[in-house]
Amino acid sequence: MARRDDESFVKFVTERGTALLRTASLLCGARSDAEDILQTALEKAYRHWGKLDTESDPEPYVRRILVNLTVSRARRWRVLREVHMPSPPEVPSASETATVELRGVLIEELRRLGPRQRAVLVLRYWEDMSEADTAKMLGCSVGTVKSQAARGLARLRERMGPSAHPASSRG
Amino acid sequence: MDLENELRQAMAEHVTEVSAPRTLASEAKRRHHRTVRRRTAFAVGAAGIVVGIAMIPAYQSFRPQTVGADGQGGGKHGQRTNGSVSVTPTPTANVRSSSPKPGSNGTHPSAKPKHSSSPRGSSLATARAMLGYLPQGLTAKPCETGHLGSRETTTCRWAGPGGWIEVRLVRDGGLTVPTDLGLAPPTAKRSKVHDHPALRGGGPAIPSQVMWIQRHGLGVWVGVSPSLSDRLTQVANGLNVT
Repeated sequence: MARRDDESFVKFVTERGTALLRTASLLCGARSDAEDILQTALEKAYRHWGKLDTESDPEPYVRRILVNLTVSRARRWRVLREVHMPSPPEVPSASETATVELRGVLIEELRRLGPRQRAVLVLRYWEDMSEADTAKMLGCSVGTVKSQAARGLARLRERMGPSAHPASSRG
Repeated sequence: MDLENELRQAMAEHVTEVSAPRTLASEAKRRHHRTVRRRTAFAVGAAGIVVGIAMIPAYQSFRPQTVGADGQGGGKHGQRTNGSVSVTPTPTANVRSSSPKPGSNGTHPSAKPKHSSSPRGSSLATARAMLGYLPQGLTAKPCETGHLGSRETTTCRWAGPGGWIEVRLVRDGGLTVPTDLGLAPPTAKRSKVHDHPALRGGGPAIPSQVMWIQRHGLGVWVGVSPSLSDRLTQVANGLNVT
């Protein structure tokens, strides 16, 4: 079985580095943290790069390292844990500016979710992964992914106010 | 509002300007090499410490020692025992390598001394620990313990090209003053060692020597070869007797 070489690692990082950094950025919130955590993940991947099969795609492997690192680091540092707000933020209006603001608030609220819940939402709605793939990536059951995603969205809706509910229209 | 779509849009907008630096791969490789170097250095350091710790007792065991006393000097006083015993040295040793045996032979002063064979390792360690000052070139011989009546005498020797040193520890319940040792030459003069009254003597025909009572029941005799007669005070003062 052929093994991956050093050159293929450089090629992979060059091609997929930005996508990975974007995922890392969403997973951990801050850009500087994202770069650091991605470098750590790539370092870990590089350590075992020679053992990876050339036929298989290394990205899920690297992505899995990245997600696990982010979740475990957030748990360890406890800096990205959920922060309960005393009251929901102001309800944005339906204007164009308000839409931009709403998205900013959504990202802020996403950051405030627990690391695992945030990872589920990022993998499901940013990476467009299926529930089964997300479960595999996180090492949990599909049921857990479903419940985490539902709870995460519910929490976002709760914090975004009535406009975030599916029943309500944008006007 | 479709929250899922809004979330997708928000995430896309949030990361739209994010792009990976060109040095990402090289930085990851550099980190890896640094980690490997650090781990190697740590492993080598840890192994060095472990080996160092393990070598201490090994060094104590394998330190070169000459086996067998040459019987030089001091033999005329009749307290020294003959023969060497062969055992492996160990660092844990007491000065007293065998317990005294108050015997019935005390009534027969002319009786031959009884040899009490202590493990050589103990006696070697005893000898090493005994001298606080040892002239260069002298190595320890195994200590020997002999009994004569109620008296137990442990004799330790250090010998080398530069001369020899002999120390005798005499245990006898009746020892109270240096003359009780019965080893003082007629020309011995009063002196002091470790604040204990001592007798010191020596001359062309007999080795330089000093003796004192360390405590009730324990006398100490120290003799040196003529070549080391000027070191006698240092040797006696550096003696560790427990």
